[in-house]
Amino acid sequence: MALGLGPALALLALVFGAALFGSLAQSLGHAPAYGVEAFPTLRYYRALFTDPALALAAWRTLTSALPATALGLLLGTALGLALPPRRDLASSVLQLPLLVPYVVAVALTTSWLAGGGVLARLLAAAGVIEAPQELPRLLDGRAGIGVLITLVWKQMPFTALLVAAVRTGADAQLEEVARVFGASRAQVLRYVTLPQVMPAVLAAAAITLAYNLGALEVPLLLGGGTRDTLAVSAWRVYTDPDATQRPQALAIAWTLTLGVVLAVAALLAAGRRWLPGVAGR
Amino acid sequence: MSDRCARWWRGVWALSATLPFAALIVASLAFRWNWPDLLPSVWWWQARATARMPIGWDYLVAPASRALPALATSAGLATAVTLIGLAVAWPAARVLAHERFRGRGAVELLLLAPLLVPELALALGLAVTAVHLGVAGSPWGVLAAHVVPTLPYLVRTLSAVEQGFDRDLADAARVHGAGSWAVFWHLRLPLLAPGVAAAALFAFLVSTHLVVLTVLVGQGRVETTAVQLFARLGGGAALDPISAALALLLTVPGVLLLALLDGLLRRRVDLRGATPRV
Repeated sequence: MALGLGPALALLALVFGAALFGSLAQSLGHAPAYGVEAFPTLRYYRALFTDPALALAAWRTLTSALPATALGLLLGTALGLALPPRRDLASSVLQLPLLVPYVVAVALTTSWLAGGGVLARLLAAAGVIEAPQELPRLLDGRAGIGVLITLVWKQMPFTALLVAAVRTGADAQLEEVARVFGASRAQVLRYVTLPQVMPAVLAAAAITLAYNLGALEVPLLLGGGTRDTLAVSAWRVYTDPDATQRPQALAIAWTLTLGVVLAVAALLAAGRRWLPGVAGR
Repeated sequence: MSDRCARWWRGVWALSATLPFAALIVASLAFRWNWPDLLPSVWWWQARATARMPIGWDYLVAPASRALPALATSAGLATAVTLIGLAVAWPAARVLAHERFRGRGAVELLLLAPLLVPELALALGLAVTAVHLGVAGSPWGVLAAHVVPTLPYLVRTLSAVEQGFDRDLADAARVHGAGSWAVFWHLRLPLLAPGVAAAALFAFLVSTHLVVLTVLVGQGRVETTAVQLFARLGGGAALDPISAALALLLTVPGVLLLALLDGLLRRRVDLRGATPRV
């Protein structure tokens, strides 16, 4: 009866498998279309560890993905706990960031935080600044505020909805029982509510972490060209007119994929071990 | 969390989820919006004599912008992706919802794998493969590429939909002589339709959002609305009216989905209430 799985698995194996193996071969130096035929060579992977620019890109990947993931999870979980069991208009509307593409989120961030954007005009109206240049460079500055805000804005409702879904399925009376038996609000949160929602938080953490480590559009468009992450570096190398460097892009992408898989596996393993309520599910 | 605090927090978030779009609407309707005016000094309708339409929208309907063909490409691709995705994912979801078999964990992991692999890595890999197969730069290559990231969503939502289907109902119908076609047509389809429609809408949405896959596999020759917006953004400058209009255009499917989903999910609850509880 497992026949129904056939088409899906075949399609994934064909398209996904072809993509993985084609790119693996090219990252190992097999790219006759661009006049590169050095298969097998680890040259392109070695460059990842010797090129200081790529080491820096790896560091930036972590420093842009980890804070965004953590902040999004924290705010999203809090929002998920604040959602009512019955959907009202507010809880419908807050899904909106989830339903627009990342490029629209980038457009929104730009319209609010860019030099002549809404925030600058508001500050000018309040007399804080006089010229658009006086606004700190939020988008393409060193701190990467634009990337952080965009990722958090887009992902917060995702975590919130996962958490809220677990809450509606869970036994709502448990919290009341704990209160009746004298638990404080903090104790109820620590021993009843959080263990209930932890599996949802962990699932959201895995998916948002995987996305943020490999994100391209947001850091590419809001990074100002000075804070390239691994994904952005791979994009730049691949779209460079010099096609002979394309195996390098694929080596970066493969390393990134491996890193993402390891990071998510580590996160899930740590979650199983340390978080209450996750083990045994 | 106290109720008042929760309501306040929800209100703040609902505002931050919607208010940013106001800036796009204003930007797309402005005729002159100089620094440091908070609102445009001349709106489009005050300049009707010189401007037939708001600048951004006027550009989008002009043939030179290729915005309308791109919109058609987006919609056509997303429709095809949704249909293929449903045809592939629904049978798989049915198995995952109802059957127990060996290797189930591995199958589930494989079906979720496209969520773990960065879109860029998938796009680069598929671009390489598409060049080998000679479909790079064609809508067909992009179509095949788009199906991959929609599969995890489709399989997950459809499994949940299938789990809600009470198989005793189908058995009862069969006992009373219904054939497999009758069971599908009179039982499964009406009961599952709202959930399947919701999953399909979501797959449609995912496809219209894909930028990196479309650009790399389509080699820039397959132009969707999301790709057009992507090409205009960046550089740290303020948002121009054309990008604002494009961004609003790209927001429409999500808003429609939100409205439709609300209706669909309510209908599903009603239907569930109508089926006998076990």
